[in-house]
Amino acid sequence: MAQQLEQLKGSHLVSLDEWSAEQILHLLRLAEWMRTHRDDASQLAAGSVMATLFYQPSTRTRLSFETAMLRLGGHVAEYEGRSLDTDDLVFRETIHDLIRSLSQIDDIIVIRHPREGSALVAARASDVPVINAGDGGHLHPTQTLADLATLLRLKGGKLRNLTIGLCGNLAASRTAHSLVTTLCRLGHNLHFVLVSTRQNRMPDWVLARLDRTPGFSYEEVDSLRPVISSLDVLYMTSFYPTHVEPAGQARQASNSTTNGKRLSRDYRVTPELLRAAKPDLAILHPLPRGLEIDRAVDDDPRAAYFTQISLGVDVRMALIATLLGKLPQQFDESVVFAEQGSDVDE
Amino acid sequence: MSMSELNASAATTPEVKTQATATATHAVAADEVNDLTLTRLAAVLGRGYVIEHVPAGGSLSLLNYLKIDPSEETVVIATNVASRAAGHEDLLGVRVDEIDTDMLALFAPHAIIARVEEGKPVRTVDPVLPARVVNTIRCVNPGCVTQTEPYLDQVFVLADKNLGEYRCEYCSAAAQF
Repeated sequence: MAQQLEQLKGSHLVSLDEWSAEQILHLLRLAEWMRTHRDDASQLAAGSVMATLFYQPSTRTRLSFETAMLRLGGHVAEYEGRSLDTDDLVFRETIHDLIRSLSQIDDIIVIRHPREGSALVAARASDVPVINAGDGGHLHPTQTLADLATLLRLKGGKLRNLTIGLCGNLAASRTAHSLVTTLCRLGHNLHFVLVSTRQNRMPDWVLARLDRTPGFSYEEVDSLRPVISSLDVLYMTSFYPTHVEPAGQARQASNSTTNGKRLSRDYRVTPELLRAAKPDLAILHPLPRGLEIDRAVDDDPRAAYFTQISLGVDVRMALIATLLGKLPQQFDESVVFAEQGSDVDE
Repeated sequence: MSMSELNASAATTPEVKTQATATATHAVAADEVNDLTLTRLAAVLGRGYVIEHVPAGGSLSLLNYLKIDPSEETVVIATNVASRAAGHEDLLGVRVDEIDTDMLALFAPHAIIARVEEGKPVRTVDPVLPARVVNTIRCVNPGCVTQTEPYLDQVFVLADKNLGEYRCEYCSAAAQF
């Protein structure tokens, strides 16, 4: 473990594509260790300061990062001011100058920005690690890490021999794209059931990635109802964009599917639908949700979307500690997931 | 004879054949016209490069991408000539010592390039798609960071070699030529 994760000291997380599959799996194991060793992790980042720059509204992601840093014993500097107004051309500072400056002050930087590619610009300008907390509709790698951590936890540490349903606006869902393409690198023998309207289907470049991955297959359907009984995992996404688009760039939800406050039953998870589902189905959602998951489902043991949030903190703790080079000496990778008979693939 | 056959031919005979064997078919007649034009282009040019299979009407744009100024260099163009391969195509000749084969691969992926010496095409040059293209293609994604950070280079990377697909290094949007 140590060598794989030690190599990441001082690096950035802009896209998971820049990390090897082994590095991602080691980080997920460290996240699981963080979950069960809070006390051992509590001073790993003592004396370090993390700057958070959220140019877009965020509740869960921002607090998850801040809580992760606090649980590692570090401090958080929340950046705010006129420069956060990206439409303010008089006072707006370039991303390069701002990040270059902050990297002289803080030890690690977390950025969410509406511009696609902004995290890459930040990483190239920075002298300290930069974490992409979402760059417009482009990438949100820590959400993918949280999704993967949830899958590993609920599926016995295994990413193999699963039927995974993805439902919603798959055309615009950055988290769905990232989850599928990352699973293409980490998983084995996975079948995807892609549930969407014709207008909101998974982009061809993602389907091409599935086509190229040995042992992977997919089918596209237009309703959850006929396929729910076959699923081991159901990853729901909203039909509405969950991130704010830059000015002048509006992304439309499918009005035929999401007509005001109504959503077709073909794309909704309800207690009635779950009667036909497997007892160990795991229902994930990156949140915030729209109408696609009925609130009556929240108390169903198969609802895992709040667990995702909890595991997201663990993942971010592992990520911050890794990028700062503050790895726990006590971490024994061999026992992670051991209670579940893990065979996490490498 | 098309230029793709030129290398083999040139290897065995120093004199490049200039007349295709005519038959009754229209397709061969088209090639004959093409071959004749190509040979004339090379003869007029003297030295430099001739480029075959440029999309019909695309020669001037290609010159722009190649950063060849027609007011500075000798340029010979045959436009919209009959072609068996493409129906119609442009033939382009430029009297320069070096040519940017990366740009040719990018903007005229089916083009065949021949070096011209002493008024004759002598060998072909294989263009290869470049791994990165800087400040040639502009990202059209309105949400891309390059739209608001003007100091950034416009960088596109080869995402799929088989499809010849390029994507913006920053936002991953597909290149639109």
